[in-house]
Amino acid sequence: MTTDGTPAEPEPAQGPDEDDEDVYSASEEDQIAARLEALGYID
Amino acid sequence: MRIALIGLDCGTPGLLFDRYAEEMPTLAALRARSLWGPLESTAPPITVPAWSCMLSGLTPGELGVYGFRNRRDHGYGNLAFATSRAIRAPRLWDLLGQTGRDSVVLGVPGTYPPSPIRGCMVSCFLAPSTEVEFTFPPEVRDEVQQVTGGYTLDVADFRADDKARIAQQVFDMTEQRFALARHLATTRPWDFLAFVDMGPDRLHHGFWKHCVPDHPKHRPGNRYADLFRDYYRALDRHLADFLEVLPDGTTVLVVSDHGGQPMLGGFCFNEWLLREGLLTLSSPPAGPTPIGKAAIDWSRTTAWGDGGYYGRLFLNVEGREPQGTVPARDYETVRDQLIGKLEALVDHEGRPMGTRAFRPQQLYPEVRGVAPDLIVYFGDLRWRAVGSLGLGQGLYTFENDTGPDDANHASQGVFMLAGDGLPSGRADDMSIYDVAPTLQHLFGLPAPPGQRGKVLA
Repeated sequence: MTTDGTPAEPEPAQGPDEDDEDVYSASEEDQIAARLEALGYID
Repeated sequence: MRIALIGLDCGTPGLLFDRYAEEMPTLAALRARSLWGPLESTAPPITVPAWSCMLSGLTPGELGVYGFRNRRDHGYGNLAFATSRAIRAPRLWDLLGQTGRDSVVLGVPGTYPPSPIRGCMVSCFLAPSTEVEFTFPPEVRDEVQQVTGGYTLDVADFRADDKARIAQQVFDMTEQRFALARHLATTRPWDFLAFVDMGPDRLHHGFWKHCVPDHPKHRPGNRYADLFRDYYRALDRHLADFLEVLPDGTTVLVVSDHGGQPMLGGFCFNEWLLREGLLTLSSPPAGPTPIGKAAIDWSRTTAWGDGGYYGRLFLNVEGREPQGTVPARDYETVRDQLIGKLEALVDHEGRPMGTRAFRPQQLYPEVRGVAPDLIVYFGDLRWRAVGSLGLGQGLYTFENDTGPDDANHASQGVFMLAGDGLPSGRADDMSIYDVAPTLQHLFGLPAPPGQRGKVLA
């Protein structure tokens, strides 16, 4: 939060960003998501 | 100094130190000469980011990674998987490489895509398949496939009713992971070898109610009642075989990212927000619908949640989200009200559920990326967060709405560190953030900026 009470802008230096889009194809992303959903990680 | 880290995903103190201790003579002997005890995990205690936190010494907030999928920005639904590229901080193998030392990294979550290191890396279960480049250097892939006869990234089709097949795959995956670790340990130069076996985690999720009487659905004498015992006996044999090939004087760390506990049921997070008037739909779901596919009227929505082993609550804030409704000046007030409501929740029998809700800012020294506005442990993680709508079961679910799952994560994992000249005995104040500083200290490396953990030995 900033000092005037408004939520701060996200810090871009860490975490997911545009680079991550190249990691999985759309079908691979579906495959990983299905595996994780099957394991209960994502709902 | 040479260190071998044996990672047991979801290694649980109550199982490894107590319930199955007598079934595991190798682990017991190792523990007898170790500094050992429960290890407080990250908040939340989730595989991703916990292993990366352990090996970088930084919190999820500092890494900007709060789970497998994270909001890329403040739009609605633009989620990104937390791959290795999301981990910008150096992990131990990076620091060692800078000082000319070799690492072997095998199956450590947070390592897909594999990154160039001094040594070799076989990436983790988040690799989509073994058809892709999942090793560094790339030519290691063929060797891995040859040694294993086909490398198993993870148990396939875990959410299924053919339990016998799932159990067999868990046993096989663990055997294969230890065998590959032995191969790499004896054929590669290394100062640091780290491998993680996902077997305990998959076993706990699939079979906890069958094996551990603390699960409310446990039925003594069921077909799989001895599966945990048999698995941990087998794991102990694999551990013995692995320790046998380590060069004399190797320091050994057995460690887990989090523990496990019985899952009592699921709490329908978004169904509750609907009933509280905090989430509004433009049309009701026709059936079970993930929140990301629900028809949300954002102009009349205050908050929504993502489900999983813990709940992630997001506020719809004016000037931040595209159709924000919560005035920025009211942000903390609304957040506080929600904490109060969540922590007052009762279970299906009207008893206090014991839910805890955290502001990321109270958990982490820095909050990077797009964090949830609240991190919620329903029933202190004894209940999972159900994000889907339209289940038609009220606020509580107990059956297979998204498939069978017997266990949730728990905040304490395990730690056992044994080496020549190192202290031994039980310690009860160890944290996952102490692991990197301790290993760096043993290797004679200075602590990178930002680490707050302590040196344990």
